[in-house]
Amino acid sequence: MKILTCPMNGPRNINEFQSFGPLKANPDPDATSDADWARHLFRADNSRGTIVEWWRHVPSNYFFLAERNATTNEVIRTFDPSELEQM
Amino acid sequence: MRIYPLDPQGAAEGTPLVTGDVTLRDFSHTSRFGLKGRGSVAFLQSQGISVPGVNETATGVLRLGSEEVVVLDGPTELRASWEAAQAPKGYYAWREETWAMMHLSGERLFDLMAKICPVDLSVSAFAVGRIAQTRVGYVEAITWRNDRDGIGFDLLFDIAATAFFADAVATASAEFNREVTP
Repeated sequence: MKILTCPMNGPRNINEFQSFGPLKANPDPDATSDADWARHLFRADNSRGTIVEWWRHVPSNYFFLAERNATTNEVIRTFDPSELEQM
Repeated sequence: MRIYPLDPQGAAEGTPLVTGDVTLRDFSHTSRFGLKGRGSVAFLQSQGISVPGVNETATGVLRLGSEEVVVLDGPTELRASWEAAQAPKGYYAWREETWAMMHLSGERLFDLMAKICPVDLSVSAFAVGRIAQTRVGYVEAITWRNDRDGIGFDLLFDIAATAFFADAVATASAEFNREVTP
């Protein structure tokens, strides 16, 4: 079983986690067309290289972020969302 | 009056709980006061309740997240004090209704836990006072050492899984609890 390290709970089996897709900036509600909203909500770039994704540790209902290489599937690091405010 | 799953007329009435070298007991009827969300910790501290670090438990208080806490067998007036308090004070999490609470103990306790829980809960790896939020017996569960009368683990999990969990423990412990015939 793959292991993912939760920032709050430590290393856990991957089947304790749920992926919520890549981190994306929220569009400006006043300046975004319906088509762009739809794209924001329902489509994700299938990019190679390092991406940042939302994950949830299901038993503790804890949401966090993971930096992952989408080509090699290597998880570079996981971190608490509060770090976003410092980025 | 509240009816818990294993009570007469409860949804899991008649489900056997294993006893022997692994023993499962039900404590779902005990008091659980749960808060979640901004202000939860500050409210409890304002009531003179000491809140431990995340994933730690002390004096009947479980800290399950930065702003998620459960108080076990707390003061009876806690709910009324919370209702009367000014927000932000977290929101009420209904842990006494949504979660079952059970206790595992017995001679083969650690053999069982190694089989049904992916986290290493052995004495050397998992200290008293720590909380594991993980899976136990195929159910998402919260567990911690609580030595009621001998070494044991308390568990909280979705109350709708009461019968499923009891069956899972019975199945997993069969090899430890089996009757030996000459």
